[in-house]
Amino acid sequence: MVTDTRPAGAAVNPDPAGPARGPRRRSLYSAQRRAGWILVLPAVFALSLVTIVPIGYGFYLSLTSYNPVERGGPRFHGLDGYLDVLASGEFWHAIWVTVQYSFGTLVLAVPAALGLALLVNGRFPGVALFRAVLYLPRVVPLVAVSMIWLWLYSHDGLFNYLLDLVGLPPVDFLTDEDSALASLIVMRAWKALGGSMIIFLAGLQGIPKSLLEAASVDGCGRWRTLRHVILPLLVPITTYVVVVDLIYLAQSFSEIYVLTSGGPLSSTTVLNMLIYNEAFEHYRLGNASAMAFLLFCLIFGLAYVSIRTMARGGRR
Amino acid sequence: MIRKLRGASRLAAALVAVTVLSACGTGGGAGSGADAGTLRVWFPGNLSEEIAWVNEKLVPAFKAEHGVDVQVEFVDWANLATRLSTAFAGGTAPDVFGHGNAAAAGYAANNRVIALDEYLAKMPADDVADLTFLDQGKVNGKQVIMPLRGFGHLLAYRADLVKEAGLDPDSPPRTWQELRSAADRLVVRKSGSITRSGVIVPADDPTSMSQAFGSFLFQAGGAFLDESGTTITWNSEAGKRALGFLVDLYNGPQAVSTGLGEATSGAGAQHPLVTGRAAMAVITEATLKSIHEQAPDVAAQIKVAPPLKDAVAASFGGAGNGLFISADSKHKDQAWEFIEFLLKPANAKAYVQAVGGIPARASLASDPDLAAKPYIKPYMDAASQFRGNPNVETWTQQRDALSAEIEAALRGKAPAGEALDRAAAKATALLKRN
Repeated sequence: MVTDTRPAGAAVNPDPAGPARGPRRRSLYSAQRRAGWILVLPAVFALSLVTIVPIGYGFYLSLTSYNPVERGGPRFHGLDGYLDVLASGEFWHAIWVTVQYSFGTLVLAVPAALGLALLVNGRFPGVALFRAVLYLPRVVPLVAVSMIWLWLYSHDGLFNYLLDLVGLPPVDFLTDEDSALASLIVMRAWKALGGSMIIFLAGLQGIPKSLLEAASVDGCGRWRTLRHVILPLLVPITTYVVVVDLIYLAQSFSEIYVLTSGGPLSSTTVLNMLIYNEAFEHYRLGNASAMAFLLFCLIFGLAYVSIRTMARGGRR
Repeated sequence: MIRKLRGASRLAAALVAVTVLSACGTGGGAGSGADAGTLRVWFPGNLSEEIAWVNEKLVPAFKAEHGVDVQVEFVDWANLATRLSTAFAGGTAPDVFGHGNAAAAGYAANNRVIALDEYLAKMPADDVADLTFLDQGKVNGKQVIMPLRGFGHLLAYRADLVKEAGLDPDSPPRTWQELRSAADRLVVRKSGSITRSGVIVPADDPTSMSQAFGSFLFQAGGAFLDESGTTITWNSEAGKRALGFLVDLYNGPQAVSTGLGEATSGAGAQHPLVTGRAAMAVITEATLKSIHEQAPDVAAQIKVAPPLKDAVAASFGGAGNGLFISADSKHKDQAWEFIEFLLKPANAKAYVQAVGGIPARASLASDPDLAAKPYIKPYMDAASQFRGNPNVETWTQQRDALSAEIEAALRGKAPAGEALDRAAAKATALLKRN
């Protein structure tokens, strides 16, 4: 066991080898620094090439009018694209659909994942298999999951077959504007369940047993232990799950592209779907880029609000 | 230790330099990914029969005759516009690419494709006259796309169900009134819900709905745009009557149709005509072909009627996919040779045998092999009555505006007249931008 015996407030020497005591020591230090820089250079270069440069170029495109079919390349027009987008009813509709989709999925998936985590945290025969089965949707690609649910939701699919068995009329799950978004939310929540459950399970298993025993000694029942011990201790994990899921959900595209393509009547056109349509159906890459940066702001804002809200809840 | 570190530093620096230099050296240009002498061709779609015929028969035969290597890629229709736009932007567009007519004017206006008139002028006159859909590939009088096949929307019906309903399967509906009357007899309802539609039209997505509207618009004597292509006319009285007729099929207590938004295009054995969820359906030749291939027993019961008539006997259709030559191609002459080769009578015939549709040559209308195909003959017979999209620069955007409003009307969210007027106002703004 290592114990730091320095007095509080004592300055920390940045060089573990101690202060430079001569030209040889300085030379060694600078050679190490140079080697360090050179060794990270390929990573910096790759990161710049595949992340920073495209982001910078995307931001530049958002300030231009650019139709890739036209010759002449992007034409700079400042913030006009952002103003166009912000004045568009389609954009605000897509924002609203994105918010509904993201929070609808979270509201369904997070409590269900927590419940399942509590269930599989216990010890009973076959628990490992049960956990694996619940985690399975997480490892199946989203497009494959979407194809399966496309059949489940279809007129001749399993859900309508079951409804028919109990004498109920068929439901147009994906082709009716009143049910399409809800159907997508159910599918996406199912897909998100396994991953969130595993994270909650890790959180549950990290709770010291002594705390649970102390609660039991103090006369807490299961519900009070859950409410006053487990849930407060899971706030950081819940924050992580909510924020990460929110970031993914707000960028949803593939499942919507496969299942509804944004329809019917734009009822499932989330912002990423609108960006796709704007860029590749209408060839307005400038406006699409502006929307992408506004989507980033939305995600940042939602994540920030979630973190603040949950941190406040955790402090209470 | 220091020596080792210095050695590692130098090695890393050298690797970075090599990486940078090699990245510079692989900058793509036109035709990247193929040898300088290779012709790059993109075909739209992913039909296995088409892929097999092109790769195994057409390309080897072309190489044997012209000595030109051809690299063919099939691009799914859904991704075609995306792939092409990024290829244009990146300077990697193929020498020859396929697309529908709807995009022709946009590519021509932006100088992405070349006019083919000089090449056509070198062909024998009777050969040119034999090409069925040539005029539909013109933009401002210039030939920019060479149609490979035609397509159309016709009313198909289940003869067995028609007979069951007490109707004569040999006398299909010819007018809107007859269609409505037959649909009323054929519809089946259970507890207020339609379990079998009397008739359905293509309504997979808003674009299909606008094409279905096109058929009824033409039959009512209307058109999408005026002849000059400068004024929207789909909201004429004819247009409003056409959309009103369609809206009445899908809405209200007397509705005879259901299934808006369901995928029926190319649905084969899953098509409502096959599953029994529709007794009549307006379908394309490609969808009918898929039914014949996947459900031959039911297909034997399906008959096809000539185009319906209100004021005019007509339907949506005409030139289907065709081939363009990229303006950036370095192999334009070879590209034309490839297109000309594909349009030779034997190849034009083999192409529609693989893909379906109406052959690009009028002389093939009397071909016994094609006439024997129940999914080709009715469409060949109606070829002169098919009308397509107008070739104007912003047509795809105008069509999207129209499609969204037609969907709203068909779903009962907006009156037909108001929907068409609203779409016309949006499209007029687009036309004025040109």
